[in-house]
Amino acid sequence: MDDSLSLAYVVPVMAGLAVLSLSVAGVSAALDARDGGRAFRTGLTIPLRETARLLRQRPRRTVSADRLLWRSASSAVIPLAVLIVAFVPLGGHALVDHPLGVVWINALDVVAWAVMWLLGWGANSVTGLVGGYRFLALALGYELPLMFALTAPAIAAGSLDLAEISAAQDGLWFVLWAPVAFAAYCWGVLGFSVRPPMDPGVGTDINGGILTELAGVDRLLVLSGRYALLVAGSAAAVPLFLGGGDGPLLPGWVWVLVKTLVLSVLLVLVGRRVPTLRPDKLLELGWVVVLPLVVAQDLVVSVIVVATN
Amino acid sequence: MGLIDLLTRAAGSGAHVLVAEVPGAFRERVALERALHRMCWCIAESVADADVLAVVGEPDEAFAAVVEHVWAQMSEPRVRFQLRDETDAEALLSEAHEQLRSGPKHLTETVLRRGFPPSADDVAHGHGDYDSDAHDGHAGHSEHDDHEENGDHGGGGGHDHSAMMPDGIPLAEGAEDRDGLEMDELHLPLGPVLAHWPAGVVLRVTLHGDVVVDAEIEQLAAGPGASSAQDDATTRAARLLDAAASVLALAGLPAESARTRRLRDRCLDGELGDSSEVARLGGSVGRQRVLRWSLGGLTVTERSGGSEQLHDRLMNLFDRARAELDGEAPRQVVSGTQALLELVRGRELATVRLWLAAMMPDLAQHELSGAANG
Repeated sequence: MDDSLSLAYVVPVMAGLAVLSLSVAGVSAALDARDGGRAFRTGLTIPLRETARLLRQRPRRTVSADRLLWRSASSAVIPLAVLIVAFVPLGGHALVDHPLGVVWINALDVVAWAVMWLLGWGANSVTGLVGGYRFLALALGYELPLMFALTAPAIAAGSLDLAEISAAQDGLWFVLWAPVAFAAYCWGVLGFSVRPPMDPGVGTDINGGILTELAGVDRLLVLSGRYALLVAGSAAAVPLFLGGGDGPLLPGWVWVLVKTLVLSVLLVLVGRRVPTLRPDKLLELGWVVVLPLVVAQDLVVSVIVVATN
Repeated sequence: MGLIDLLTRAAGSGAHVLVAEVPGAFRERVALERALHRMCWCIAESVADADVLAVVGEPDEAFAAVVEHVWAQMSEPRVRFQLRDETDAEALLSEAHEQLRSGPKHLTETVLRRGFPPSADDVAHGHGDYDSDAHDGHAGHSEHDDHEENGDHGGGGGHDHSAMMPDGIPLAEGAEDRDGLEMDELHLPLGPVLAHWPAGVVLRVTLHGDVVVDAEIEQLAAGPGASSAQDDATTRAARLLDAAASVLALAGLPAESARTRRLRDRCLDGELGDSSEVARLGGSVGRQRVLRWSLGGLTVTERSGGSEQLHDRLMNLFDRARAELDGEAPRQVVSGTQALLELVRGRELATVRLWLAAMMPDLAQHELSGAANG
């Protein structure tokens, strides 16, 4: 913990997360605009306008809502993303340089289960509840592959410290010899940030599911929180799979930012090409196809590590 | 210019519109969608998400009651209007825009909107016997009107605030689900104010989790002003493309859905000289393996003993639109409401929404002919 960045860095890190989330949301909205036959740039400002709209909209509550749980869930999404980012080394050090960084990231992504479920439960609305159920079913599908995917870089580097894992990829990024683990990890990121195609919990067919009854600031917190989770998940992938701050010319922290942004945008692009995965389809895919592949991947990584030492 | 002014202006420039489509107002709805698309506005995903409520067509009493119900649940700032003629869409939207912008800068009203979906009673309530005692068997129904005046509407039937009905909502009853497990039974009305849903259809489903175990269907009548004239081939083709766009949107492919909607708009404008573009789009959608996989297994068994896949039905929509534009004889697909009920029982909510969207053009014709007969 002695190597952690000083607390003064909290503000720039949070500002960076906000700017990256807004940019990714802007790109996503701009792609929507282009598909709808409008100019790409008309979409770029939509997240800002949407923010203004939701700031102005009055909050709303449903009859017999579980207000404590509902409000705590909607306010928890962004802090969750901030906590994940706190463990990511920016160049040399992270806000929290912990020897068990990987375990923390895993623990935090499981907190998303509770947050998303409570969002659906708290509103006391049928569609919200269905959305919550769907999210949990989906989480059963992606979580185990995600956990096994996280072990691949840890085995390869022989450490659970994100800074050490990042340093261990000297010249050869883990994405190159653990591509399956990387893919399963990205799949998990789309899952816990409830982005397409892993978004039946907020599906159009159930009027936004866990988002159905949210209005005003509550809605804003959850919508922006989903982008923040996507960015935070991508940021954690940088030390795990993408060489951390490794790159020519620019300082390490700039490379971390660039890689995070590129991965987030790629995940948005992939999500747009794939139809929503319904929980039954997804569980089949997760348990029958992805899980064995990721375990095999872990085996391959272990064999390489043993053979080269 | 102050911060609040700036915020208000920015907020008004991207409003979300909830569309309440009265049966028989297809062209008006399309005109509205196109106009709001040009303004960079979008369709609201739920009541909570909406700033503007647009009633399209002439609602009858029953439909008007539902609209009031929805309006009562919307958060401030909110605007509503009624679109009667497709040429008015743009003007009404800019008026709504103006109202959103010039509306109260400081929202002082302390009443929080409370919302839950209209129950069976509310829809039936306005249907014919608006003020009679016959609409339901519940005691204390007279409280209902008081609730509505307060703006927080009494959603459920039965307002004796006993321990079994916290805040006037009856507790969920338990029942055995298909695996014999005890599940809460939840009641949810689908429609009529719902995107990607056939106009005027109310499907009151009983859910175990998200599986529909039982359903009742009601078709709200077309408004008094609706023309009972048969659609021409272009409109029929546009309806088919509209349904295809809805299926794609519900399946989670917004880009393909937007492309199909644009084709629908051009079709209505008479800009499609031949059917080649429809065939091309249908072909490119049909080649998407992931879509075929994700829609796979959504099959219905027909009375004749055959079965139909949802993916085939989607392809069929494109094919029929092409046939309409080519002037081939229209192919009738009969699907009465009875068959519909058989279709939805035992299915997951997502499947029900997808199938209803795919059956939209046929239900619309069924409903229009029904309205013409009486």
